[in-house]
Amino acid sequence: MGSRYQMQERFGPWGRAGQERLRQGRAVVVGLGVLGGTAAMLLARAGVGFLRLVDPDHPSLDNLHRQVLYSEQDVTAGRPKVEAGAAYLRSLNSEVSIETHQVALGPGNALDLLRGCGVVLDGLDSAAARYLLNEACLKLGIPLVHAGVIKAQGQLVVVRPGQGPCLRCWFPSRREPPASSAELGIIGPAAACLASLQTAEALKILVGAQDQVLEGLLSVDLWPPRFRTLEHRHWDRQACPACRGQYELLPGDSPGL
Amino acid sequence: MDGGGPEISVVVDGFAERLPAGMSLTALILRQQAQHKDLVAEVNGRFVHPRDYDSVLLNEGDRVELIHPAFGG
Ligand SMILES: [Zn+2]
Repeated sequence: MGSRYQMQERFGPWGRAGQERLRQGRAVVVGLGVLGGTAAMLLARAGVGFLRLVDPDHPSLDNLHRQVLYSEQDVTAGRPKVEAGAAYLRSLNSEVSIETHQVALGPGNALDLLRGCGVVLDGLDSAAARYLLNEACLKLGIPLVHAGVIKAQGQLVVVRPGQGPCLRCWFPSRREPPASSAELGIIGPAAACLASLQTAEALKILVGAQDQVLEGLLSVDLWPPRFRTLEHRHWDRQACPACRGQYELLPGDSPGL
Repeated sequence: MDGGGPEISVVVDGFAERLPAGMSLTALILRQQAQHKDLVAEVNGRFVHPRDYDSVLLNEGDRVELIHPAFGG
């Protein structure tokens, strides 16, 4: 009888060795909306060893057109996203160890929620929370796979602390966009596309294919379809407070270095 | 078209545009219906920091990409 993971192990760059690294791998998904939920599902199916889920909310009926972890029963029962999500993920793959935290990422808990993981997946839904996540990942030296989505478009960035631009380098204004997805809408396929791209990057990091990880910013639009990769040439670590270790969103921190 | 001065040809988000010569990146962003200035801009494959949008003047043949970051999830 074949193994559970044989189809992905047959993919040469992944292989048995990559699968074993994945089994020992630890990922944290911050935010269990469409990005985080879809990513968590793909990571659990792929056989990541340990998955930490962080989200304060409950699924609502208007989530279900795009969010894959929750059912109508979860909405009716008012189950927290982390609880409903973990139950579903355990039903998909009992080999994955799942830890849940029903909290919002904040300055006081960010480091503790990320510590010990080999990769962080950004499933958040605001710019503000993402800048905090960015700082926490930089401080801990953990790679961050960022994705964001709105309407039928989004972008993907992998932050490798100390080795390339962070989210603040790419989005220096630190302002929230004037209109949110609640106003502009979001379609399931675009979100699933971004989540899938995001998971691929996280899996590369977990299976040890760092040299295949996205460089630059991948912009995706499905309506009409267009994929673009932007390069951040001439990255200057010293020009970015977060990259040079000056964490403005984490508490009680003196500038590093 | 705006005014009668010399024009240049610039590729914006993959589409050729005729623009007034000497147009700044800031002016282009305003021209492109951009709802807000907080975007990711690249000229000829090079990321441009927002503080430089005023001083970057577009030239014939430049390729510009403008991306509005999406922060939903
Ligand atoms: Zn930075």
